[in-house]
Amino acid sequence: MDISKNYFQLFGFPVQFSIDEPELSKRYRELQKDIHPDRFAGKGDREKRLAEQFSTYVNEAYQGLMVPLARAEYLLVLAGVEMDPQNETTNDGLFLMQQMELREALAEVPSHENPEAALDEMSAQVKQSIELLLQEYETAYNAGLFDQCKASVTKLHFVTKLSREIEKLEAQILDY
Amino acid sequence: MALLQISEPGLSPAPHQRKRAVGIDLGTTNSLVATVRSGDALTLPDESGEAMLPSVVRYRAGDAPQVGRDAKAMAAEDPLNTLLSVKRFMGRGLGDIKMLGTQLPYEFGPEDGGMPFIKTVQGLKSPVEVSADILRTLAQRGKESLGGELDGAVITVPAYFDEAQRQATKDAARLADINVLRLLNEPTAAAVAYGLDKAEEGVIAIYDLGGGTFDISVLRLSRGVFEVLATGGDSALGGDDFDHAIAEWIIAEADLSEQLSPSEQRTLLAISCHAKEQLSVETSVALKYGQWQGELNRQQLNELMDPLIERSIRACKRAIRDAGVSLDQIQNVVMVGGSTRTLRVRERVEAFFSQAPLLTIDPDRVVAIGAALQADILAGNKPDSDLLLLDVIPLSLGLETMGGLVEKVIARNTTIPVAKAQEFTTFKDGQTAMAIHVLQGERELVDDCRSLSRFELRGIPAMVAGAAHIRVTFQVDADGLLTVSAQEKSTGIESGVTVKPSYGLDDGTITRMLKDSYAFAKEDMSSRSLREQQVEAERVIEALVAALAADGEALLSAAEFSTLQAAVDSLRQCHNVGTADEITAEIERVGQLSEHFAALRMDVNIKKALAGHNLDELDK
Repeated sequence: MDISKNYFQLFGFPVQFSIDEPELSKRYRELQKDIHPDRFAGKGDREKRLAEQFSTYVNEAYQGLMVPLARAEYLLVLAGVEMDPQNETTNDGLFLMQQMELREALAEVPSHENPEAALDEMSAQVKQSIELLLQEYETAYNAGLFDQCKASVTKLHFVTKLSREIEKLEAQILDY
Repeated sequence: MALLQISEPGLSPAPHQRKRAVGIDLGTTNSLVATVRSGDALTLPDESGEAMLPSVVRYRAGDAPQVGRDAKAMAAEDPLNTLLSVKRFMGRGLGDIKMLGTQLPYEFGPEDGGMPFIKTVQGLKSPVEVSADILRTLAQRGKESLGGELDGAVITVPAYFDEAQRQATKDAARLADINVLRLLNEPTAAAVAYGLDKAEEGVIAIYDLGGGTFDISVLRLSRGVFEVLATGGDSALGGDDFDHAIAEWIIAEADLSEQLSPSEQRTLLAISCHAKEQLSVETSVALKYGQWQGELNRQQLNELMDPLIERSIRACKRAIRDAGVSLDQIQNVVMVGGSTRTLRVRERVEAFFSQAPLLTIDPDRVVAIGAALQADILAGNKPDSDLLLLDVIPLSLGLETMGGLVEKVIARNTTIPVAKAQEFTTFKDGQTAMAIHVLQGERELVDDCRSLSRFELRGIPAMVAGAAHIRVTFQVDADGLLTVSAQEKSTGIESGVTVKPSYGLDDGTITRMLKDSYAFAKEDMSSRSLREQQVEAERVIEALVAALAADGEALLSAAEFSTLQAAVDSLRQCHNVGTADEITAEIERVGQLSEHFAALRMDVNIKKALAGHNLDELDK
């Protein structure tokens, strides 16, 4: 196996944003069936080590394609577009305003009369904005507009973080 | 008369010969060993027909340790030298053990920050050594039953076991001279035992309440591949806690002093355990302890147990959420562990999942049976098997950053094997060293997570703060064991450790324990290491011969083929006459020669797996 193959080539998919996720999962499992270290458990240490390396790369590639945001970022890496998501900021005022409102709403959830319903509504809202941003990204990527792609990725990081906070609060409120 | 086949001395056995493989359930309260015979997995009994080996070891002055029922029978009489439930101490420090909250009768050795040693008449014993004694007894049973040295074993661990606990289990196997094919998560083993791997698709929950640990796992199954979607649980919750709750109730009712002697504690716990078991059949039991007499009914017992069971249900909710599935997607619920015999547990689990859990396989044996099935496959006895288990890490792994915070590098429930790198930088101008502190856990503060290891990266060139780029790489192998390395990018200076958890044992300690373990054994260290290398050589020869037969002609030139053929012959020769060191060197040489061939074969495998997809789809 050539570790220099990119994730898409590894699984035999074209380099593009849209991907057939069930088919990706299927190919991932087929690959692991053949190269997982368990297949080499009774063999020599060296073969096991090699299998370990390949299996690790297949896991990395699968995660890199299966998670839409990871896939979006990976496409930019392949296109040679540099970005440091930790330090990127957005200057889209409208988007920032929406984010602030959502965060304020989240802070008020615990005192809401039906916090569970409030959380459900927020989750749905956030999910929808993730969908929209992914569509935005895909359109920009297909047109080769990488600066717009970067802007979408930055926003996606914001929203993903918010969705994680919603989950955390959900766990607290529902007493998991 | 049938003729017996005898192979030429030193020749590796024919590839089709069955391997001797066992599955071992190393439990908190009881342990079992199982194997596959003519397609069926069965637990192996001792000479008196008992399959369950109590996980109890008693150390005696000047004599070999007693393991199992004989040891357990002496627990009340000789509490200081009779060690029970040491699985709870594996990979733990004394502080953690005290936090288990139960009164322990043992005397611990001087604390040195590592795993605690327990004082016995045979000297200080680490939980790892005690576990090794249990494993040795089980492996011996396997050898006798299968008629020869074992080729390998699958040993099960709770899915919730962290790095330190897994490493401790592997160390115990090493001490017991067992070739570990794989550490397997107990719940996964249970699912395999139920043959749920034969179903096409589905989500399964495994509810495992043992003596000392609770595990919940959510697995997805699709065409022979098991994916652990999420695991959770409580490594300090089990049926023993029910016994303790009852014992405390008796102490309160009888107005006893809290300072009971070790043997009084044991007696009281035995009474409590018996009462718990009876109350799954009857609605009330009479109790008697010393002068005190009383009665406990099922309703009262339920009240004592409910808060504990509730903790397990909360962990279920969390695991289901982590798995990203909904409750109604769960098609099967498997019950594992002796404590699931408790009626109340069954009631509550059934109510939560809105379905009757699977109970047809003995919940005490189900894990060992699954482990045996998996061992059979891993040893190569079932080359056509489609079963593959993809495991995840149970807890997040990370590093300490400024301010006592933890930066996660690998999130929990990530599929293994996995490697991830993260970059860090220096905090001060001119800083030339960096302390790397590896942690495990979900919380944000270092103090709330488990410390796994610390090491230092030295020789960083002096730069202004924030200019150095230190790349720290975490690698977790298929057994869930971690290696961490750090590299300064501009200079390439590197430093790394295989994480020997803070509560683990260093190699020197293991060597000493190995020597100790020979005090009562017939074999000595040097003959063991020779045999180990011979076994490894046999494995390498067998793998290479099979590989050459399968793909040699297709992938290699005639010259390459004969080089490898010659390498096999020379290793075979060395295997027969060489010392341990010579065999090791020869294995290494053959390994290097065959590296290229192994890589070519791997490539062919991948092409095979993806055959029929690539071309048309890439054309689109």
